Amino acid sequence: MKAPGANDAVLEVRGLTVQTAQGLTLVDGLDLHVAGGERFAVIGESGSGKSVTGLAVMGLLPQGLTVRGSIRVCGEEVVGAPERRLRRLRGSRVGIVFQEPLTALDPLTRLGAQLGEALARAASAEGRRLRGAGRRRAVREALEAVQIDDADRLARAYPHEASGGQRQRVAIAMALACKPDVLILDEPTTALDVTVQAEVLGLLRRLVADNGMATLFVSHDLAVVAAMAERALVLRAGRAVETGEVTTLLTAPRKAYTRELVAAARALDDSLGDAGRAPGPEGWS
Amino acid sequence: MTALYRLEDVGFRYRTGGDVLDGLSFRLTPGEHLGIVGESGAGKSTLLRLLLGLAPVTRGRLVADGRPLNPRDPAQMRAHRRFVQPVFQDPYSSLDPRQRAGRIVGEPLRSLRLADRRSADARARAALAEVGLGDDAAERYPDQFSGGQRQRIAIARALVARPRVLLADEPVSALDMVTRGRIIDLLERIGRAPGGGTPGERTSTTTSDVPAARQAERALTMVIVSHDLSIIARLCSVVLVLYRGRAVEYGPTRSVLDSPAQPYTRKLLSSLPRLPRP
Repeated sequence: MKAPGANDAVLEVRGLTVQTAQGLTLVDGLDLHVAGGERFAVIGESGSGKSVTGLAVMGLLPQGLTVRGSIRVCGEEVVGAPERRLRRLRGSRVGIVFQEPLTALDPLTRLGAQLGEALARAASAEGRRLRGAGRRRAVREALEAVQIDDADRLARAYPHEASGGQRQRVAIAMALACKPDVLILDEPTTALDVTVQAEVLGLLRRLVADNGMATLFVSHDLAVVAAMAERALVLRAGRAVETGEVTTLLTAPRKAYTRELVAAARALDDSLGDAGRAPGPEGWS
Repeated sequence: MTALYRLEDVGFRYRTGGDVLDGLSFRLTPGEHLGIVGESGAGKSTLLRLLLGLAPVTRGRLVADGRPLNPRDPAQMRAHRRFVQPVFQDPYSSLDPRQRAGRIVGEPLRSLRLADRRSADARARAALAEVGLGDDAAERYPDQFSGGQRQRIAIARALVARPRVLLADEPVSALDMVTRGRIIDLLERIGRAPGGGTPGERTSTTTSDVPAARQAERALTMVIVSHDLSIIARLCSVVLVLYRGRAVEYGPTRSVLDSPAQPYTRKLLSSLPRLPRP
């Protein structure tokens, strides 16, 4: 079992600065710390640098960006690491799910083959070979783990033949193939319908709990963050505004920007009244 | 009260394929704010196209401004463009990047021949002011504005010819949370204003001249299409829930939210991500 103890940082970011060739600063001296099994979120609006941060952790930043500072995933430095090491890290320690699952999926390859490829890579990292009937079985199990009912049919489908929710489930299964210590979730449900979003968020919560992995949940949606993370960092224009427990950020934000975000979200949320709130003890207060 | 729109058992289907919309009936009365909510594939965009006259109904009747709407009748469609104006989701693609904001906003006046160039310009500036954009905005190009400001320009363009109905399709989905709140505030303010005119023109009918009952009637009528119920809860008095081309629920927003009758509406409501109580 490679899972580190709950107190060890699985992700340690120090002074991360990302700049474009034109000198534009996308991320500016960012520090963050995610403990093993911790559910952490980066909250930010478009242009805040939140997705760039997620990509930097994966070592997936596009060419032409300058990266300074340090990103350690389970103790291993990502910044400046050769591609070979990064690939190994991505195949074992860290996985990512993007907003648009088509980003991660090859349009010309059947979903089952793509997932099989990811599972085989993960197996080979552990010194096992996964092929033939064994691979097909692993694909079916991985699809069932993300609550795909008709796994065999979906395995034969091309990405465009699947619904948005199904594609995102496959992308999640691929990210989980290597049983990562940290799963980066970059707006994973923003492109989905609200009922599908609820299902996928429920699935993610269960998978994260079952596997005991840490998550870096990147989102602009405070209500979704509240459901998915314990601690969060508010990012604006590449800089950390404040970090804290999600409940505290939402109920007693200290910084003006956080207050503005919370007020905007609260105004919309209030208009719903109690609609859709699960009836519970707090409903009586 | 005459309905601005009256739909009677409206259906739509493409020549090949099944029903996209089926058995839709509702009325839109002056001053009403109707929210249409639904997920992808529910038929929201198709309904919008029917209301705008971009496609003919394939069954039932769609009456707009007292007449069955016939998209193939150019004269009626010209009048229809005065009657209803749209605001679309994406302020990045809906504005012509080569035109200055003033020209973009004045375009409906010119193409509908409601104003000559000079007065179109003046009214465009007034409309930009109405949506909170300063005097220099008219001279700038779309790429010099933020997403929220672009959506304000799109709203100004929709209002400039003083339509009876404003039809907004996911008007804030492409915007950040804080910006979203501001645009919703703007739509709320516009929705309360009589006739949707610009402030300069409105001073001639000050509120005191108009009895209260007439006031509501004179308020701008809005149809807001969104997948996000919280926006509709905030802006709309009446909501229609579309599911697979059918209206599964239609009624006062508050009662639909508080006591949804249909399983689908209940599922939709319980799926909403909610903030923890303060």
